[in-house]
Amino acid sequence: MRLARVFLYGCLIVLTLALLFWLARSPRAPDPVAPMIASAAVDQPVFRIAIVPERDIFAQRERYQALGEYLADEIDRPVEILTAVSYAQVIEDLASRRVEAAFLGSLATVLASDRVGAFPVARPVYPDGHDRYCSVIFVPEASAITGMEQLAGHRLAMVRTTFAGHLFPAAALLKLRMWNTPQGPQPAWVGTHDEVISDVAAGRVDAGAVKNLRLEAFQREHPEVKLRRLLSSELVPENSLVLPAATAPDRVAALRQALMSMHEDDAGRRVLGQFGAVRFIPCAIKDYSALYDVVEQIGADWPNAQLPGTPPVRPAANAP
Amino acid sequence: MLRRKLLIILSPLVALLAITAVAAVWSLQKLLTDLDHVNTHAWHLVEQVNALSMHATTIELELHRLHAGDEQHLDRLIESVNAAHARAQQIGENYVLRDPQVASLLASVQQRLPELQLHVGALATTEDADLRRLRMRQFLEAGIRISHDTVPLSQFAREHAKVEQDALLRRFRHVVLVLTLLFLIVINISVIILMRMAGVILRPMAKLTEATRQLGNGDFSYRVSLPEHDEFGQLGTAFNDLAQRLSEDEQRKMEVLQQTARTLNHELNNCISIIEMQLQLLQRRSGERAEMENRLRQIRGSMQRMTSTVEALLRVRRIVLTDYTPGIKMLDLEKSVRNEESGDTACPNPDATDAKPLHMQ
Repeated sequence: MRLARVFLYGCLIVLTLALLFWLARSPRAPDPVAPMIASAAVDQPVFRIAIVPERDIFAQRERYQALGEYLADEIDRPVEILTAVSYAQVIEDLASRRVEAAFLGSLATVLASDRVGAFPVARPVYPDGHDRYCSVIFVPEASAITGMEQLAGHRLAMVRTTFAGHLFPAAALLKLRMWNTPQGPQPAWVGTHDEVISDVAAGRVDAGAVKNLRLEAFQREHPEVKLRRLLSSELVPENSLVLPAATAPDRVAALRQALMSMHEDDAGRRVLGQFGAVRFIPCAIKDYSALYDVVEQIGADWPNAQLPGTPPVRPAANAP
Repeated sequence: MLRRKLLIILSPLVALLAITAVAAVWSLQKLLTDLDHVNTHAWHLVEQVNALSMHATTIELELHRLHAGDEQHLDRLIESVNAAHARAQQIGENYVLRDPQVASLLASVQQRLPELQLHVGALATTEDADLRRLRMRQFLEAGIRISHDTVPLSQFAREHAKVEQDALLRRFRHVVLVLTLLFLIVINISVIILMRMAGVILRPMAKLTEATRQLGNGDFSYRVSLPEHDEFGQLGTAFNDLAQRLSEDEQRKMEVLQQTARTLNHELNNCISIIEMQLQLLQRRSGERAEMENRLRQIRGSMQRMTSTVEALLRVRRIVLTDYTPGIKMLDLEKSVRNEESGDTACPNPDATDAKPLHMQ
């Protein structure tokens, strides 16, 4: 009898607990949208890195977001990627300390160095071994334009404040006295190198000036589209990580070390793969010699070339 | 044994209540799950489709802010477009939109979103006025096509949600009705079982109470019949044993009283005989004197009373006591010889002979 009572009480307790657990099942609220900040430590100040639209802005942000998450773990600070509308905006962000770093093209790097004392730290190396690029002026294969002189009266798609899309073609046309004249081509300021190529391929413009790496990537993806090069420049460094002059030396060292050693571990290699590179190599202002040559070639026509501010001055030979 | 009997009676009731509770909770939990399903899927789908339309508006606003110079960074625009993609994907995962009627609409939306994204990206960065006009036209066309597909999606989602909700309400009414009937039945069964259980206890208790009352009234022949094989049966047996013992005690007392009465009768009769004989002699010697006759008559009357009192003692059927003086009991001879059924007594009329009850402590 006692055993029966114990058994009965035990069954009642088990039944009650089971019922409570069953009743406690309740639907979960949907997770809130996660912020686009790669956080290593939420209570740390956010390290902002600016980028400039060079290709598809959505894919580009995704590439740099993965890199930002990796760097966040390395420097133990949350990293936020900001996409500026223009290179001029990035330089302004660097000067105003709105951002603490930026991935900039060669011309923007030189301008940032000249304007706010920024300096490059590292640049990527791509799977084909390239770590530099050149400017290419091109037309559709079927175009009647065979030389720069025949660009007169035609629309030339360009990307403002870039070496490949602005500085080099402006310098080439200034040399031919075809820039900003009725005898010269009409610039069509397009946002990114990819859009320049897209507009030329679609026939919305007659010619374009872009980075050769983007042109070659487009031709790999669209072999049916035939394009012809009119002119190419010297090689200049690929987009590099640029830091303001006031960046603390330990922060510089940490970022440099993080980027240089990325290819040495699996996580870093995964991120490099998403980024489209195989590793990072050191970069210094002296690597931009070819660009300074073009700047000096433009000389006093700098304002006429619709380039911002004053022409950057080549740093001394022993500058870092 | 009684406990086991009660458990046997109560166990089905407890089981019935437990099953009823589980059934009620299960039904209600199922309803809550379905209600949650309606909210999280059906109505949530409506919200998601509306949110998709809102994203398109947000994208337009961000583009306007960029072109107006109010915004110098593209991140909010990029997030708005990404959010629209994510929303479209979430909508596609909803089971409601597997309906062929609307699956094509959603597929159309999902196809047009990358096109919209392309135009947005170009529109966000292009400075050339002609190209910007071209891109704007393309963006607006893509946006209108998406809106054109989103409106019927929203209508379908809303109608589907309403249908599901109505079906849920109908089920809820059925569940309430069934549970009400079930609880009524359970209550009736509970009442019946509880009454039966009460009877298991109250019936034997009533019998025992009546038997105790009878015993208290002096009816030692009363026996209680409790055939139950439990504690009440044992109590009944114990009661009957007690009544038997009390009856035997009473019988023994009666026998002792009768033996005492016989002894008194025998001795008194001898004495009365001698007294009667002497009275007769006195009466002969007294002649015709009335006073002597009267006294002799009184003496004879008292002796007759003594004789009838002793004879009455022989006919005592039960011992009924009365107060002789406060604190001292005596045998109530009239009641002790009274036949309980007829009320007749074998005791002489105390008024006729001025007799007093025999004193018995």
